[in-house]
Amino acid sequence: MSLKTILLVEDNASDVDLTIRAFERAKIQAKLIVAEDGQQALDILLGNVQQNGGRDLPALVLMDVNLPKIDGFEVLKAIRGNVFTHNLPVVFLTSSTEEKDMKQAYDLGANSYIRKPVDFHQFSLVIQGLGNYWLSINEIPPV
Amino acid sequence: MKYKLQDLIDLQQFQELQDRLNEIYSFPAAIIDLDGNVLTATAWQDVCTKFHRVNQQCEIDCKKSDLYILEHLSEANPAVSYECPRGLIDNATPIIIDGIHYGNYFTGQFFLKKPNLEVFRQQAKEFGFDESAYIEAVKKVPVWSKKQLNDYLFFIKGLIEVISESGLKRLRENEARSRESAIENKYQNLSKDLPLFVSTFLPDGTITYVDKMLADLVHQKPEELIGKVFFDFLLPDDRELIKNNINQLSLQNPVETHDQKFIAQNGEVRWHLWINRAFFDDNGDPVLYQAVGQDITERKILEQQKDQQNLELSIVFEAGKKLSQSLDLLEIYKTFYLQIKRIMKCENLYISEFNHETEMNTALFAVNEGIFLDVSEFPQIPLEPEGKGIQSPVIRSGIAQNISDYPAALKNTNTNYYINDEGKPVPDEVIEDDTPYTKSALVIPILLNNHVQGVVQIQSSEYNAYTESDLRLAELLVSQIAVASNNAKLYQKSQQDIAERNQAIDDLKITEERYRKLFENSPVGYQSLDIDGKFIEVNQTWLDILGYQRENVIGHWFGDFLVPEMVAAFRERFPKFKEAGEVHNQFKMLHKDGHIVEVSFDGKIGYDQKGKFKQTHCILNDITLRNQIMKDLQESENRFRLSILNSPLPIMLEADNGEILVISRSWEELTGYTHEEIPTIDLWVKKAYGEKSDSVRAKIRNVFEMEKTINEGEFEITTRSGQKLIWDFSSSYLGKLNDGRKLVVSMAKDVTDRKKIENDNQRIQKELEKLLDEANRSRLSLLSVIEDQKEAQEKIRQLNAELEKRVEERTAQLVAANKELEAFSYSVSHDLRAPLRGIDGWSLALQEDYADKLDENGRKYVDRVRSEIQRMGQLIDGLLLLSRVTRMESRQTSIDLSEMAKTVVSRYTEQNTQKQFNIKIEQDLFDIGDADLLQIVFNNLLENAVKFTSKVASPEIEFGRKMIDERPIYFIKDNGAGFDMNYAKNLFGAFQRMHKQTDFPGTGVGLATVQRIINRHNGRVWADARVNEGATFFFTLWEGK
Repeated sequence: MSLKTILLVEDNASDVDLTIRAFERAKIQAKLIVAEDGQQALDILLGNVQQNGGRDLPALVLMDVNLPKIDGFEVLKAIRGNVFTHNLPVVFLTSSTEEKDMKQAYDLGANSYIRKPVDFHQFSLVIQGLGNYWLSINEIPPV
Repeated sequence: MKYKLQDLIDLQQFQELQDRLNEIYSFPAAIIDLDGNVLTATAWQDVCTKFHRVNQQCEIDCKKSDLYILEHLSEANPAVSYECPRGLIDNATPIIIDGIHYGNYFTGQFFLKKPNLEVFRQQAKEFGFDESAYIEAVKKVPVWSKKQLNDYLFFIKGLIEVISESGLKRLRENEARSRESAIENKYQNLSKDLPLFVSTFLPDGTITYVDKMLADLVHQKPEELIGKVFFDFLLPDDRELIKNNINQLSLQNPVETHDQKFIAQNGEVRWHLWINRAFFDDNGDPVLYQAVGQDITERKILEQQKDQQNLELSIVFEAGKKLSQSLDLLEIYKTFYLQIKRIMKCENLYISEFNHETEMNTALFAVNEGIFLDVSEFPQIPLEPEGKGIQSPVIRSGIAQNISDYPAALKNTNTNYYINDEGKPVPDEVIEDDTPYTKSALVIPILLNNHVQGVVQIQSSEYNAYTESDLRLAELLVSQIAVASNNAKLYQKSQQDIAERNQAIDDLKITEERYRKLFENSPVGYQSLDIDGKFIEVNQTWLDILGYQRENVIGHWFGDFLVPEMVAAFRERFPKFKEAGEVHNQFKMLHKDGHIVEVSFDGKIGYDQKGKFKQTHCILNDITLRNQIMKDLQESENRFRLSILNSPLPIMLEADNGEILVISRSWEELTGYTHEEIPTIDLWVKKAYGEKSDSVRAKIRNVFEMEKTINEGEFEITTRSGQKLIWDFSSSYLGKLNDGRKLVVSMAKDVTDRKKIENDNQRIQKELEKLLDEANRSRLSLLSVIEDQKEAQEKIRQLNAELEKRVEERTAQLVAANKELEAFSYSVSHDLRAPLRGIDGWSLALQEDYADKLDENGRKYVDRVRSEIQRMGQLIDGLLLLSRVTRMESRQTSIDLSEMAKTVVSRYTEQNTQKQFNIKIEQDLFDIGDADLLQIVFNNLLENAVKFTSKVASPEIEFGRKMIDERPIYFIKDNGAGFDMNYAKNLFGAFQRMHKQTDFPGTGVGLATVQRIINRHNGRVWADARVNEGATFFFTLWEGK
């Protein structure tokens, strides 16, 4: 079974590394692709769609809200607006505790919204839960 | 001392009590007041009364004992005791009530230890007492223990004082009451001097103020009248009128006054003068009415009396004039009836004539319930026997009667008549069952020359309809009709006589035969004498006048029929008559029964055809009657003069030449001048008017030009003694005297007193107006104060509005600032989290990946970095929560606080498993609140409680509720570390910590969050704690709701 892919959209390099570390620590077997801003994320997703009809789309998009160029909500809108990426699981992983952000995220069709704990141990636990759920337990219809 | 003991205490009752006590305890006792009066006493011991006190030597000791006790009374507690030289104990207890010493309660004549009889035998010898009787008496004396005595004394003293105190209280109450009533009396007297009723009411009549005077008037309290309707207290007849008067008040004409009848609760009619004043607002609409009233009943009565008296007087004079003018009897009676009706009640009027020979009453005139009746068919009514009837006593005595209860008087009559439907009198025999129409009457004799000619009855359908003054007036009028009707009768008769006589004289001139024939049956006497003076012929009338038979007259000498003293005159006159041919003469003749008949003779000589003397022809008239008329007239004039003389009012009869004919005695009494001193108007005017006499004299002259009664007005006259009197004059022209002088009657009424009252009233009126003015002024000033107040209020309102606006602005600014601050704190904490997470992550990485490369110190430093990061994380989370709590919208639901506390506390205690927590949670505490927010409160407080008790051996945590002033106060109490209240000032501020981080870790924002949440629930939170004795956090929800 080929390794499942996770698209991590995060502009903070340190956070990217920490997240990768947390995945390692949680022993989640997945291929992590990183986009440093919203535009990049869309390029990756929609480029994939154009090239092979979305056959190699990631199994999960983990995305921050505040992103350079195109913010997380715009990216989500685009994902939900495309037939190929329409059902793609999108989980916001963010430092924002704003309720309105959370609400907007769900309104736009986010599958989940997770506040990043400051404590790395807890962060690791969160990542472990996320990986287990979205990569193993959850199923989405085929493209 | 105000009261005596006997005022305060029912002595008889107390004596009985004391007797009973004496029976039980054989305890001689007495209450003696400070004056030495023995108020109650029980039997003294024989040993004292029969031995010690009656022995001279012993008695000195007894008195010493009395004196000692009195002198030492102030030391009494409760009594002062003294052992007399004989060994007996005497005791006295002062009776002190309300701090005042009223008297003393004496007990005594007992022993405090068993008597040594030997000592008493010794005493018997010493004082010469009969030893066995003495010892017997000593043995009767009771022996008391000191305690028994004290108990008894406290009891009896208390009893007296309690009884007396209640007596005193009662007396004081009485006294207070009498003082109160004295004040009330004083107030009432005061208010009599200037009695004002004051009330204010709104346009709809709602009373807003009533003074006590007015409230008393309607027997209510002022406060009970407030809010009631003013008009409801007016008589129904007045209500619309007064409402109308008040409605017409305007700014230009804001005051109306009126007299108003008021019927007091006792039925008395009072007159009030009311002054109603309207107050208007800026639009000219009435806003308030003020009614000020004054009792003017006395003034009103005076006015009415004056009117009544004037009316009566004018009626008497008018009636007198009318009656004297009329010679028609029916007219006289009718006039009399009409005039009487004007001055008193008169539904029925009966005038009857009484015949002294037949003793029968004959009706002359009758009015029944205002209807004139034909009396011609009225039966004659006999005089009833002595002591019976209604008219009879009046006829017998000639004295008028005022019968106030006619039905009662009727029971004492033999015959009574009532007027039936046809206006005829019919005998009434069933009077017992039927209350007659007439209830009271005046029965007045018609007197002429002190002879009763008849009776006038004036009747009314009301009981007690007539006063003595009515009776006096009626008598005066009846005396007028007596004279007038008699005059009329006489006049009618004399008119008739004169007419007949004239006719006779005329006829005489025609022929002798006709003359003779005419006179034969003439109503005038006729006689014919021969040349010697002997009777040739007399007619029937002649015989009737003198009472003779014709045969006793014819042929007799005329002189024989004369009174003896006139015979000589006849002898002298007869030849002259024959010579002159005619005669007009008067003779006094003798009636057959001896009485004198005065006759007038008018005669001529009859000549034969040769011209020689044939016989005399004389007509004679009985002028006894005419003389009688003259005499009667004289008398009637006298009566008139007398009635003037005796009149209660000053009356003067004067002629136009200035002669004063008559003045009444009251005139003389009041002025001090006798008639002799003021024989003329000039003199009178000079004396009475002094400097003003000229102008007054001119006025009096004018009076003679008037033809009716005129009121000349009030004049100030000076009496002989120099006193000034005010007389109200009215005069009436009475006609001409015989000598052609004009006659005027002047009446005066002394109105000095009335004038004074009027002046007083005017003064009171002025004072009243002054008061009203003052009231108005003070109202105006009050209005201006109110105006100022309004202005001030307006200013305050404006200031308030400005302030509110400013507060709103500030609040908006504050809200904005808060929002900014929160946004800032949010973004700060948010932005801080990201790098912190990095530091945490990487320090952990360092720890995990490079631990082996670090020495002990290095590892320790990494650990420190880690723990600081943890703390900062918590801090940021706390701050975020705090800011979220403030911004979060809250949703109120009903919450089971007990359940919430239980859940939260168990979560924390479960985390701390090494301790056994004693948790007490009061069940079923429900309140309204935001569940999420309150959850945070419980989280914080209970986490704290768990945290701070974690170092105690047996930790206790309690959640409960207290009710204070029926408001719930929740509390969470622990027995943990507590804290020093001195440092608790900013307990609920952010970042405030009471403990070292190492002892009890914490962020210092938890309680700040709690406070914010509680504040969002309109509650308060506070704490009470002591170091090492635990802490209690109290909070309330929804205060002021």
